[in-house]
Amino acid sequence: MERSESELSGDAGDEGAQSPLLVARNLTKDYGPVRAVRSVDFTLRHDSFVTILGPSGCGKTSILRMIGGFEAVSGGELTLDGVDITAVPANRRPVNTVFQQYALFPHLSVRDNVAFGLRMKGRTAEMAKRVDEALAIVRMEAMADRFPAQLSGGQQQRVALARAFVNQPRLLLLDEPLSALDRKMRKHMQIELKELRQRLGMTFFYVTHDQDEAFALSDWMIVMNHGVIEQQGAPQDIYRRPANAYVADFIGGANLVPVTVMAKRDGVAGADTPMGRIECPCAAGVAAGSTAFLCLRAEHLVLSPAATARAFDGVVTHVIFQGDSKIVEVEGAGRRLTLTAAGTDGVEPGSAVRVGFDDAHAWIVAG
Amino acid sequence: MERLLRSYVWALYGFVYLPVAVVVLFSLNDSDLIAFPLKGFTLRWYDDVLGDARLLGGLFNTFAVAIPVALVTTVLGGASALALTRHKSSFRLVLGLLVILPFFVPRMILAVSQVAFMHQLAITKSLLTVCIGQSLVILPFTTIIIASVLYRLDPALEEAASDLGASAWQRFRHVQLPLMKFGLMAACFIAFVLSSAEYTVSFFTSGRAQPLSILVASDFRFHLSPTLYALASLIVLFNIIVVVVSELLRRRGEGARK
Repeated sequence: MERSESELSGDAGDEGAQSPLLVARNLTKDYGPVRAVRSVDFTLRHDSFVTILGPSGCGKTSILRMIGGFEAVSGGELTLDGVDITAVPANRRPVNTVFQQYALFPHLSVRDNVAFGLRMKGRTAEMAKRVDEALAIVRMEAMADRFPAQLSGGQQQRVALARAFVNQPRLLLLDEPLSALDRKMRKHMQIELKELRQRLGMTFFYVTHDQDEAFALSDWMIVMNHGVIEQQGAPQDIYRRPANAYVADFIGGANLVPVTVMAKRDGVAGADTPMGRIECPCAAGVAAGSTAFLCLRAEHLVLSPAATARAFDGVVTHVIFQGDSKIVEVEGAGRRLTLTAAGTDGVEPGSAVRVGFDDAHAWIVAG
Repeated sequence: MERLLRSYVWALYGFVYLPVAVVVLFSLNDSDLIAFPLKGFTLRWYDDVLGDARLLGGLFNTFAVAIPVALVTTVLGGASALALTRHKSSFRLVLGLLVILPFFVPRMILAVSQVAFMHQLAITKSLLTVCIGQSLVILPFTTIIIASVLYRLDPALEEAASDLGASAWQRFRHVQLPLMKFGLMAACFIAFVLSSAEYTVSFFTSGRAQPLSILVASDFRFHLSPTLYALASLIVLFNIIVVVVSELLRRRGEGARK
């Protein structure tokens, strides 16, 4: 498990792109009679930003804590670089964690916090240089002699990051690290995190319940609910082609309209909808003769559509001003539908509108 | 209502501290008689105390007991507090109750049972038996004080230490110990004060060498003099200083945790 000493810039690239960094097989976590994680499988690649997204209590934090070694694995196995780490204690895993509330040592200065891991492993020779490098990367050199209580939330966040990555872990775990920051700081830190990861070339495994954050950061997303993985894939795929109604709803911005599937062939379903018969691509679980959902993204619904588009009449119920655009809620086709629109002067609650969409943007998922 | 409450508070403080004030007052009164009217100011009773070999011997015995008792109960209390707050064992509740139980058993019964037990083991009563007896009754105090500090520490700090490669010993040495340091010091001071003021257990378990509390109690009964009042004043002063210092230390510990 010991790694040769190398610069902070990382060396994940020469590991061979084929062999995965971490493999979880049938990973399960029980808390007494409660099964928090139900036999999940996933693989983390080298040099990637993976987010695990789900509502609170879905098991995402349990997965992170099992990888970190803070919770015993109830079933299944974890392999890191081909080595089974299921039973390896936390202090002997080449993994480091950025905790939700940072967990900085209050009795140690910023410098000593960052040096902690190297000091524990007796690497005192290279310690000073590496700590300085790490502090420089997070731009906290000037604060090196302060104590955690003297830092702002964003500064503590950066120290927590430096304290973790200075150890050059194979995998960096981040447990909702931005949730304690205000919105502006959070946006700023998202960009910093993404840049930092590219610079270090490490794999980040990032737990969050915030959909926007997950889309903004990840190369690979794992969407969880009730202890199971609902879908995993590239963010674009999850956004465009959610695997089921839960994912479509959870990632937000989708209108789900119940439909009856009449036929299905080669990934294209024909369905009877309140807007007429539609033929469009569908998710794997959709079967002919079953009830499914037509998934229409808010930005694909337009007001006053072109004549060629599929269209229906509706009445505006709410308009929410959002600065550059508006969120308009329309009652039409027997449903309340949400759409986003720019420059919709004159659209007010009560006004009659015509709503349209292009069949090519539609997507059908199982219930 | 406000005034009623205020006078109640003052009455309470008066009830607790006036007798102490009277003791201090007579310790400075230039008369053999402990009675009003006051005669004049003197420090000769303090001079007597410091020249009394018997009382000084008692004082020495008190320290000879209180220092080891304070150290032993702090170390054992720290260990049991760690076990109670950090080990996820179902045995924990039983363990906790066993540590706290002496708290609720009358001292007299504890003292008598200890004497009976020591007699069975043919242990001669000495300052050592006083130390053992006192440690037992003081351990619950130190355990609770240290556990209250540990209980408020964020468990994520210890996880962070493990995450950064610290072994169990390194975790204790570099994280738990520094963070419980002020709790340990406060517990040590409190244990010292409790030990030096302890009467019941000391009375039953002491042999020929007797701590100051025993001497003072018998003197109060058999030959009351202002010398004793001077001694009592010194003890009170000393204990106040120790308690204030320990409280300051505990607060500093809180401050470090913001």
